[in-house]
Amino acid sequence: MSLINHLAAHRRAAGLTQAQLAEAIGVSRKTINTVENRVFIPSTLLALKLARHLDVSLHDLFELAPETATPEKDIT
Amino acid sequence: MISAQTLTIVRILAFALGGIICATYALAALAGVNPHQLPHWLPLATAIFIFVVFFIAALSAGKRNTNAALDESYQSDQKTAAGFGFWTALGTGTALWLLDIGGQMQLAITLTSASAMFFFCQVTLDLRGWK
Repeated sequence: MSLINHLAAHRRAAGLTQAQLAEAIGVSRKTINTVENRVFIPSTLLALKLARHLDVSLHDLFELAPETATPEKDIT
Repeated sequence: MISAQTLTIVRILAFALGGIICATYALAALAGVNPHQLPHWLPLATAIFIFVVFFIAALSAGKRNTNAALDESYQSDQKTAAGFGFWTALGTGTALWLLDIGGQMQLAITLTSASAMFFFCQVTLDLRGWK
């Protein structure tokens, strides 16, 4: 299951650069870049900080990719 | 005061230097079948130099910028790099033992190759989020 994130879109909508967002929440620009490019999955704490700073909900920033249908196991 | 970005650049350059020196030492020792092809104090001196450079840079950057440069993605990368270093040490040590190379040679090559792998991995992972 993969994580979809809309951080880049919300950051741009807020008129912030990666460096400005990083500075505001106290992480490196590299962290913001790798989160946006789905290289690094942030901790809950960092995700909440991002959401709070961008004034959006956590679910606006991150969501789970829909599961592909898998055949159910017969456990009887 | 230097920024978190500058501190990251200092870290990348210092680790790249450390990786080059450790890899050179390991290769020179292996090629010459002698752990003292280069001055034996060089890897340790490099490690101390990297520590001092980074310490001074961190002092100049201040607590907030230093914490930003050493944030959770850096810590995650460091664990990955340490893992690669560990497996390199294990692989190199075992390979040298199978080749009947032991003692100082085995220790010198194993430690420096593991350190080189750690440094190069760290640099590669640091550069991943650069663009």
